[in-house]
Amino acid sequence: MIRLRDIERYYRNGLRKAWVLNQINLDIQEGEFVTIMGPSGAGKSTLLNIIGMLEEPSGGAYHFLNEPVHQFNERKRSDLHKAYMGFVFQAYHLIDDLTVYENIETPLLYRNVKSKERKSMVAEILDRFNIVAKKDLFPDQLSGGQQQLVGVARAVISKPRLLLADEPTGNLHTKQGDQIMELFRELNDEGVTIIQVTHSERNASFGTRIIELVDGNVRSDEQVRQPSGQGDGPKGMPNGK
Amino acid sequence: MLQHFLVVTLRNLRRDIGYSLINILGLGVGIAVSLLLFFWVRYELSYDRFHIDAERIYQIAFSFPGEGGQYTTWTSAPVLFAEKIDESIPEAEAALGVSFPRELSFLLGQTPFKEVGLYVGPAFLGLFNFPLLEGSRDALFSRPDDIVLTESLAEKYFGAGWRGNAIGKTLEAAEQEKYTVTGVVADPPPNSSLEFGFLLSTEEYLRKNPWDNHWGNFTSRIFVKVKAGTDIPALEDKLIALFRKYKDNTEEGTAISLLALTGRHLYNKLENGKPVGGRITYVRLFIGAAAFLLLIACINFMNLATARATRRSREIGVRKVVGASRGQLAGQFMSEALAIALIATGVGVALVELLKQPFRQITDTELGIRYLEPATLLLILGTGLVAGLLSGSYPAFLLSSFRAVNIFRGKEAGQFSGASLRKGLVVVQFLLSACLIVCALGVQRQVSYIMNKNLGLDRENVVQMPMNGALYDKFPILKEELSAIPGVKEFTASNQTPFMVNSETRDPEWDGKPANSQVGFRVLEVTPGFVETMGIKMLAGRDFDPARPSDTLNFIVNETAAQAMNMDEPVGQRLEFWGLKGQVIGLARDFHLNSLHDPIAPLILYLARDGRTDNLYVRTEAGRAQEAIAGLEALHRRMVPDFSFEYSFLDEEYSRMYKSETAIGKLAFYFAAVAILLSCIGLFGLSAFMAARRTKEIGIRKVVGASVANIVGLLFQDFLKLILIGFVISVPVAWYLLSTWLDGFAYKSSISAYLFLATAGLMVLVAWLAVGYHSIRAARANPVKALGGE
Ligand SMILES: Nc1ncnc2c1ncn2[C@@H]1O[C@H](COP(=O)(O)OP(=O)(O)OP(=O)(O)O)[C@@H](O)[C@H]1O
Ligand SMILES: [Mg+2]
Repeated sequence: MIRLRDIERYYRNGLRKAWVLNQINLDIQEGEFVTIMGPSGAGKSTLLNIIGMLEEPSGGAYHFLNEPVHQFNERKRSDLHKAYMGFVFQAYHLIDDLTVYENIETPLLYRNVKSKERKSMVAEILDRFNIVAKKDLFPDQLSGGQQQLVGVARAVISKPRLLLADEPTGNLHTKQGDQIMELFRELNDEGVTIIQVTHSERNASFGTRIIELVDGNVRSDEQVRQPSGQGDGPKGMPNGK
Repeated sequence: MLQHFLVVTLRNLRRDIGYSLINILGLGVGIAVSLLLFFWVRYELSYDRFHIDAERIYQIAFSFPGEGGQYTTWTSAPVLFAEKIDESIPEAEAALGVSFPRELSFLLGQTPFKEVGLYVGPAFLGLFNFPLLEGSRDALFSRPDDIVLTESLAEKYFGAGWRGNAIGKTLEAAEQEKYTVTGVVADPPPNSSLEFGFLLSTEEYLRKNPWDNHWGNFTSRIFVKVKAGTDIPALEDKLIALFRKYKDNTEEGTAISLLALTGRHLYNKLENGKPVGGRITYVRLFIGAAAFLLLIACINFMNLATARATRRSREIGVRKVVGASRGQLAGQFMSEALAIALIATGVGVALVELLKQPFRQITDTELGIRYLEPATLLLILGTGLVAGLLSGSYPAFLLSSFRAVNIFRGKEAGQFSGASLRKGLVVVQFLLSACLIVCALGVQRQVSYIMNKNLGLDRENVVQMPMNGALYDKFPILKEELSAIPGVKEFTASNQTPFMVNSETRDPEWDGKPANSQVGFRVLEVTPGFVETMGIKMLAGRDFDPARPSDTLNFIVNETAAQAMNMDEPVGQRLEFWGLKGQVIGLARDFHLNSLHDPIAPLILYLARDGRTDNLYVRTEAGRAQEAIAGLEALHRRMVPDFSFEYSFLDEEYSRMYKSETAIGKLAFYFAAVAILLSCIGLFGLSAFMAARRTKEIGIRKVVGASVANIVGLLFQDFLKLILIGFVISVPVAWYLLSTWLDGFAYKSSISAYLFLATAGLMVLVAWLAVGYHSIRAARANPVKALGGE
């Protein structure tokens, strides 16, 4: 699904270049549940953002579903991002002015899903995540764990084939974190490819593969368990494609 | 999607209610003022366009060659000419004479009322679109005493039940005149430059004014309706050729020009026979002012929206990540702006309703607002739409360009939020405001210059009264009675108001007059004592003396006339015109015999034949005007009971001459006030954001020992720079605008440095008030709190 070749990222600091990512080579198959770990400042978020097409690498080749992303312009990249990816943030990043329901609905609006279909999709996911009762509340009326649930719901409502999560449990208690991780595993079982960044070994244990990043280099890359959903493909096809 | 945007917009509005109010109110005020001005402009442009085929109706103007290759243009013509055009020019579908407005005194029972009407050719109602409500068009003027009334006069004289009742009735007028009503027309709409209460025939006019049955008397207006597709310049040539046929001594080079009726109202200033402007200048100025104010209001919106982007950047980032394209985001911010503009338009319309009465009073014009008219709705919605698009486009462009990663890394907000553009916009706002303020002050200064101008005659304590009916003839024998009225100090008479002398002639002959002289002289008919009563200074010679009968052939000239005739010692020199052969007996110091727009013209005073003329001027003892007026009224009622008693004060007449300047002065003042108010509303909002963003910096500065004053100064300094830059750029612009306007005056106030200093001072002061509140609040906040919150 993802093929990174010699991906690098640096910032110019005066005349000097500060390297954040160094010649990263990485292949990720559909159905994997990858955890990226490493010390602070190692470049984890940067790598995730590059995979999520929010950020451009300074060099190297990036193929996503065999499409040469590094040759695409911003518009094409964001189309690809929109069609296949969902994003979960450490700080939840819900829109304060929207209710839970509306927050979850937003991605569908941008994918021109019809109103009726939207309703049933949101209802389904609210039900599945057990947050039907909260649907008319605003984010600041929810606990952190509940907010992250909404964040995940929003990320998966459009049935992405790839879910990217940057420290999704960073702001949560262990129990709340486990709930999110369970959810991830479930999604992964259904065929969604997941890449998460985390500092927690416990979270990493939910995944199938752990990549350790140090100073912009991959230091280790180990398979911890067989991807379960591998080969099955996702349950639903993404919308808007 | 739209619904979603709407929900977000409304929640946003509610959340930042202060910001929303500032935005809506600011934009609403901008829209209201623009709408008022646009309505006014539209109304001005609509003048005389209600006639059918209005664009084919022209008025005839004559241009006579004058000094230095310039032409003198008259919009009047001999009334006889109309008939000849009608008969012999095939391109003219119709031609007719229309007199200048004339007054008649009609009797309602015993009470006299002064009414204004026109003497017109029979084609009048066919050519102009004043619908005939009663009567038959062909039989309106079959006899000289036939009269057509407007609806309101019909109602006034024949009561509410005039319909089916007025036709055939007799209307009595002063001096035993009687008219028979043959028709009733709808009142001319206020956007008609032809205004009248009654219509009489040209025939009747010639009966009353037989001397105008003459090719040399240019006392009427002539309108021509041409056939579609007529070559106007060719027709003009044809007309002057026809004119020469009847008046073969017409000066070489005299030309006729056809002035489009639809342009008469706005292009009322003529030079060399061609319209060169006039009222249109004010229309343009107003459009400019409306655009300025709307722009200032929109800039507020842009500034606040981009300043607030900091707060909304997270939302933008999230939306991008969940799949919003740039276009969709821009659409969201655009529709937010449009929604706010829509609300502001509602506020604007409410304000228009509130302001339209005062506006009409100041400008003394109509606005003709009919909300249900498609054009009006279009204008309102169009203004709102433009405001929305203008306000929303830049924020939409800027906000949608944010990159999600940068936002989440906390960079976009601090580093890039259009700060430099925002500064530029503040500069533009204050530049526009400064222009308006300087111009407003400049216009006010000119108006006060005009009002305080020493005209060279004393206009205080003078009552003017027309010599109605028999008064005219009896004036010479009334002198004793007039002198006996308590409060009357002196009196005199003349045929024109002394500072509105318009009669002009080139006929005077004097020794040594060059053969090719084309000097035009203003001439004023007076009775003895005019010079003294008006307080005009004599430089040499003497006033007219009633004891010397020969003075009826003699003249008093002003300095300019003496110069024009090249006389060093004018007193005793020979002078003759209009059959008066005499000499100059006095040299009067120049006084302003016309508006201050024009330089003082050469003037000749001559004595009224038999001591009779049109207007009485009574100088009253200071503070005793009312007594004098009561006495005059009693005299008037006794002498001419069938005329209504009308009088005016000379100084008020003078002020009325500058009605439009005074109105412009007031409006400019209000525009400037609105401009500065809007700019400050924007500044107020902006300073709130600035102060909020710099909370931490302020906290640190306070901890290291800065005083409240230091910090307020620091915050204000940023804005002060922008205001001063705006002001400096405005100086040449305002100077140019103001001097262009002042160039219309031959006598004008200087553009003094005080105008600019006052403007700069005012702007700084008001800006300080706008910025001060938030600055002081921020500066006094507890630094520990500010820092602890981080
Ligand atoms: N705009 C920038 N200019 C210069 N350096 C930057 C910029 N943005 C990020 N960096 C640097 O890139 C490096 C990697 O950042 P990144 O956010 O990817 O780290 P991380 O591994 O996610 O760390 P953490 O665990 O703290 O989130 C950091 O050292 C950071 O200082
Ligand atoms: Mg990180």
